[in-house]
Amino acid sequence: MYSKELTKGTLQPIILKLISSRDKMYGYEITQEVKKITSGKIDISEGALYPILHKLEAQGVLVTEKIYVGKRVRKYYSVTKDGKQKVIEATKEINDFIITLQTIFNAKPTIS
Amino acid sequence: MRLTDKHIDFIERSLTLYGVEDKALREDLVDHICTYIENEETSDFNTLYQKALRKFGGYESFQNLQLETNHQKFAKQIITINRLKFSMGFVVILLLVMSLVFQMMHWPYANAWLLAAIALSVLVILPIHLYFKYKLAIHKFS
Repeated sequence: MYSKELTKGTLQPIILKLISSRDKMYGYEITQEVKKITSGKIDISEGALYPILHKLEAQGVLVTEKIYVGKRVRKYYSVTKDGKQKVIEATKEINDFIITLQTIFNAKPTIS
Repeated sequence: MRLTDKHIDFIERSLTLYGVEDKALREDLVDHICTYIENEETSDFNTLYQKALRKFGGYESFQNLQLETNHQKFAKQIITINRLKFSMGFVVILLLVMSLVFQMMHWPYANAWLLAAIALSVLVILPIHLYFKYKLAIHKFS
C-alpha cells in the first residue's frame, strides 16, 4: 500500500474521477471501489474521504441524493453538470503530473 | 451481521457524544459504520463497532472530522463576509466623499453624511470584522 504522504494530493482527483465514471456512489462504496481497482495499493481513509466529499459538495462539484436504508440515511454523491468540467480539468492535470514524474524518475541517462 | 434499529440509534448517539454535531456528517458516518458492520460475517456488535471506530482512527478523529466540516462551512461564509465588508466599505467612502463635497460647497447635511459614514464603520463594519476574527479563531486548526 502506498503511503498517505504519497497519495494525499491525489485523493480528490481519484474520488472525482471514480464518481464521474458511475451514476452515483456512496461513501463506503467509494473506499471499497478504490481499494478493489488498485488491488489494495490505495486505501482511502474515512477521515480523509468525507471532508473531500463535503468540500466538493460545498463547491457545487458534487450533489447528494438521500435514500433511506431501513432507519438510516444513505447519501449518494454524483457529479453535477458544472462538476464535469472540473473532472476533465483534474484528469488532465493528473495525467500531466504523471508525465512530469516519469521525466524525473524514468529519465534516461545522458552522456555529459 | 444484520443491524437492528437499536444498533443504528446507538451508533448515532455515540457519534453525537464523540462530537459529531453536524447532521449531514453524522448521516454519512452512521451509514459508513453500519455498512462496514453489515459486511462482516461475525455477529458480535460491540467488537465490530470498536473495530469500525479504530478504522476511523479513534474517537479523536470524529472531532477532527467535525472541525474540518465546520471549517469548510466557514469557508463559504468568508466569501459572504468579505463581499459584505467590501460593499459597506464602498458605501462609507461614498458617504465621506459626499460629506466632503457638501462641506466645500457649503450645502446642508454635510455633517449628516459624515456621521452616517462613521456610524456605518463603527456599527456595521467593525462588528463584522470582529465576528470574522472570532470565527477564524475558533475554526483555526492546530
